[in-house]
Formats: sequence, C-alpha cells, structure tokens
Amino acid sequence: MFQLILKDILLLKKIFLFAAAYIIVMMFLKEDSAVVFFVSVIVVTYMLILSACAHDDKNKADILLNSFPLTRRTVVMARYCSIFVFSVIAIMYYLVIAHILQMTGLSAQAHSVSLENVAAALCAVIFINSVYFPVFFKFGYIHSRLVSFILFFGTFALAPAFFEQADHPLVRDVIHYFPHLSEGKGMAIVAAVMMFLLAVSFFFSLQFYRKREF
Amino acid sequence: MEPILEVRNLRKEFQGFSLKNVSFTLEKGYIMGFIGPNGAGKSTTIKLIMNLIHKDGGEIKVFGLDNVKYEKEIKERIGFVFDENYFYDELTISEVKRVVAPLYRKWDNELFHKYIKEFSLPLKKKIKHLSKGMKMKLSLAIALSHHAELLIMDEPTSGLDPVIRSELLDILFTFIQDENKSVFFSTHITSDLDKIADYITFINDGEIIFSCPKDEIVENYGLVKGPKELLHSDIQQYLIGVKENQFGFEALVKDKQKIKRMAGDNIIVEKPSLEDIIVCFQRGM
Amino acid sequence: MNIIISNSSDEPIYQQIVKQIKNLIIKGELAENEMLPSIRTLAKELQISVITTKRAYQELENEGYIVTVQGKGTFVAAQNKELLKENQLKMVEEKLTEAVEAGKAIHLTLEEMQEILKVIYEEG
Repeated sequence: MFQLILKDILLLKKIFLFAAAYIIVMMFLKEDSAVVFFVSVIVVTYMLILSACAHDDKNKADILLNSFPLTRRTVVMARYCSIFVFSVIAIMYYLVIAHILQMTGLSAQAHSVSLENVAAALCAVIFINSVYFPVFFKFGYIHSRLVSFILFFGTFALAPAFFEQADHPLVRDVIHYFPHLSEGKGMAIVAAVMMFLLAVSFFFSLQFYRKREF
Repeated sequence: MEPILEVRNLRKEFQGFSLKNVSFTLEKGYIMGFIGPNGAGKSTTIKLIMNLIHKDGGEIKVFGLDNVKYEKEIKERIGFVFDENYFYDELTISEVKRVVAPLYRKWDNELFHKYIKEFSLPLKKKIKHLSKGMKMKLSLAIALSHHAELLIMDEPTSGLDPVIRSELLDILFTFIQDENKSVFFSTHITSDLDKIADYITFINDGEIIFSCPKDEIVENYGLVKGPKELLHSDIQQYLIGVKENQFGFEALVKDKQKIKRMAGDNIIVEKPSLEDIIVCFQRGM
Repeated sequence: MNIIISNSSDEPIYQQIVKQIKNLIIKGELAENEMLPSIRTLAKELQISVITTKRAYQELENEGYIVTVQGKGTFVAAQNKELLKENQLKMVEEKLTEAVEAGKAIHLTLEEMQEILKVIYEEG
C-alpha cells in the first residue's frame, strides 16, 4: 500500500511546486492567517488528491494495478491514507513557507497556526473526501469530477454561511456545547465523528470498487 | 501434475455477446496460443482469468488455486503483459521499478538489471518517451524479474515491427526451457504462433471451437482448392468457410486425408496456416 | 550435428527430424552413446514446438535409435551392427530404385544402366 502512495508522490512532483506557489500567493493576498491556512490546506490537499486520481485514470491504473499482487482493498486503502499523507504534506508546506517568509522578513504578519486551525482544516478535508471517494470508486474519475467540484466549492460557499448562521439556535447550541467540555474531550468527539465518517465512507468505497468491472 | 491454468465451463453474459461454456487446460512447460477474430471473446476470457470482471458461471484455476479466492498469491507468480497500457507515463523506468519491486516477494533485483541491459532499456527515461517495443520489453523484464511461472500475454505484439516480434519469440523460447513454466499468448496476429505455440485454443463468437496441439491441427486440417463442380458433391458437407472465385473455390477441411481420398486428383490440399483457419471459420459463420 | 527443417514441406516436421537424425546415426555422424540435445533445446534452436521434438524423439526411441535416461539426457543407442548394416543397405536400395525408375522413364535398357553405374562407381 505504501508503494501506491509512493507512486502518487512520484507522479505529483509538478503539483508540489505549484502548491508552494499557491500558498505564497495566498499569504500575500489575505490578512486573516486562520483563513489563509484553512483555505491553503484544503486547496493543496484537493489538488494533490485529484491529480493523483487523474493520473490513475489517464494511465488506466485500474487495469494496471490489477495485474500486480494487490487486492482491491489495498487500492482503496491507499486512497484513504493519502488523505492524511497529503494533508500533512500541505500543513508542513504551509508551516515551512510561513517560517521562511517570516525569517526573511518578506511577510509582515506572523502566520501562526493553532491546533484548532489544524483540526478544522483536517475535518474539512476528511469531510470532502469522505463524500468524494465513494462516488469516485463507483463511477470512476471522469464521472465524479462534477461531484468533486461541487464539494470543493460547496465547502467554501458553506463555511462563511455557517459562521453567519451563528445566531441560529441549533448552531448556537452546537457551538456552546463545546466550551462546556474540556478541550481534549471536544477534540475527541470531533475526531470520533470524523473517523466514523471515514469508516462509513471506506465501507461504501470498498463495496463499490469490488463490484466494478473493467 | 496439476495444470498451470484450467478453465472450465466459463460463462459471462453481456448485452449482445456472451461467453458460453469456455473450457481449456494448459499444462506446465508449454505455450498455448489463444486465437480468434476480434470480438471473439479473447480479452473477455483473459479479464475473467485476471479478475478484472466477474464470471457468471464456471471455474478458473491457476496453479490449482481458485483465481478469485487466491487472487493475490496467484498474481505473485504471474507475469502479465498487455497491449494497451504499460505504466505511468510520467514515471521513469527506475521509478517504476521502485514502485513495483516491493510488491513482489520474489523480486530479483540483479535479474531485473540483467534484463534491462539485455533489452537495452534506458533507466532514466520516462515511460512516455519509450517506443512501443521498449514498453513491451519493460513489461516483460518486470514479469521475468519476479520469477513468474506463468506469462499471460494479451496482444503483446500488436503494433510492433517484425524484428521485435522475433525478439519476443526468442525470449519466450528461452523462458519455456524451464519445464515448470508456461505461456498463455492471446493474439490475432497468428503468424507469431505458427512457430512457437505448442497448443492452440481457438475461440469464436464466445465459444471454443477447438483446443489441441498445434501439430495435430496443422497435420489434419487442410486448405482445399478445387473446381466449383465439387461444391455440389459429397465433400461439400466437410467444407468450412467456402470462398468462390471465378475459377474455383477454396475451403478448410478438418480431415484432409479423408477429403484427398474422396476427391483424389481433382483438388489441391495445402497445409493451412493458423490465419487460414481463423479466416475460414469466420467466413463459415 | 546439423538438422534443417522445412516449414513449407508437406512432410510433418517431426518426421523430418526423425529422418535426419536416423540418417546421422546410420552414416555414423552421430556416434554411439553421444548425447543429443534436450527436446526443449532442440525446440528452441529450430524454433518449433516442444511437442514436435518430443514426438520425434519418441519415435526414434521406439525404433531403437536413441535412449532416454531419466535425469541424464538422451543418447544415441548402442546400434545393433546388423540392423545398422541392413538400414544402410536399404538406403542404397532406395536410391537405386529411384535411378532405375528414372532410367525406365527414358527407356534405358539394363545394359545401358549398368554401363552408367560402372562409370560412376569407378569415377568416385
């Protein structure tokens, strides 16, 4: 399975450069560092995952990988693992670039990142891909492009709307619930929900991919 | 000794086409050519063996193991060379090796480099810059480097020039020196098989027409050429895929000795090539 | 050892091999107990099916010309001297039959044929 992730990394060399450029541009364009971080991580992870899927589609990986001693389960697992691998890469990228910009004095603000920022970005990434992957594994890359597009832009459209709705009683309850818990517990619940989402998503992806015929 | 590949009563239904009762067996140490016109079911059969599609009925056993249940174990021991796609275009040969080698338990790095040298493959070049022949050789190098016992080849020579095709045959001949190894070679370019195949399985319209030693086919089948009058005689029932021209007819017969006895000097009977056999059967449909 | 086969001849390839190896043995070019190439090596060199070479060797073994020793290889059998002589005589007879038929076809008499035979024999 790690070989499959290695394969993706080898293929995405050009994207890594592009990602660095994107982050730098974003840092100069936006003020709010939390927003810059959030958006950067999601966008970079999105670019990496989608490009990896595109490469697989272009090179008929479904047939190619099938000829190796790999089960379909391993292929699906690798995609899900890549969510974490790529988001970690995106986060590291961000931190390194922020650090460099600060050291060289090119950037005025301190682009600090809190644990909540990381959690929020990860949640968004997990959410997007948990919905995307089952569609990808059922219909293939080409027919799931629309869905990924909607998901991606939907997240950006909804996020501000979500914050605007802060006055809605349900939302207020949800937000107020968390401060009642210690930070650790709050995090743990969020993590559990995300893991559950991933597990359900994985289950469906696996079922879909196993049934497919090439 | 159990056969290396065994297919029994394989069935698969599509809209407008189906594989019906496909059965054949390949023993260790031999090369089987899998022939048939386009659309006959060759690729479908291979996809079923490789578990790319799911069967509707029947049994497929590789190394004596069920091909679905033991998929991973089987694929450790199979080398697969196919026509359309080989590897990721953007990767170099070295990178491909880095990705693929750890997937196999029996990977032999020294052997791989020996083949790279023998086939003159440039390690640092990207796959997309390789010629079709080089891509095929890379597939082969990888298949051979993990000590594959069974080579499954799906149209490996289409689009390749005769020189490379001849080189491929040499490689296969060397491969088969080990009597525990076998090759399953699917193609519609039958001239490659005329020389090298030990067994021929002929599929047409989803059904196996015959599966037997090539020698038997070449010795018993005959390409008959004769005057048109004979078309109305006793031998007519034995003629497969009759083609008439202004001056006579041509057809395939299963038992050329019999036809020679029946028609005597009135006909010419020649050794059929595998291509003749496919064409006549196709004509006869 | 030279074996040349024709793909376009009507004669089955295995038979061509049998004939040629028999000849080599009869002529003495293949000595007793000399090792023959394995069926697979032969198949590879001649670029033919291993089933063909197997069949050829089988027939040669049935007729007593060669012997296969498990695990060691295939060898030219110790030839029965009389049988060998008999086969060699048969070969001469076959060739002479051909010559006679050719002569009869152009209406040569027995004396004319004998004359020709004498000249050729004394020349060589």
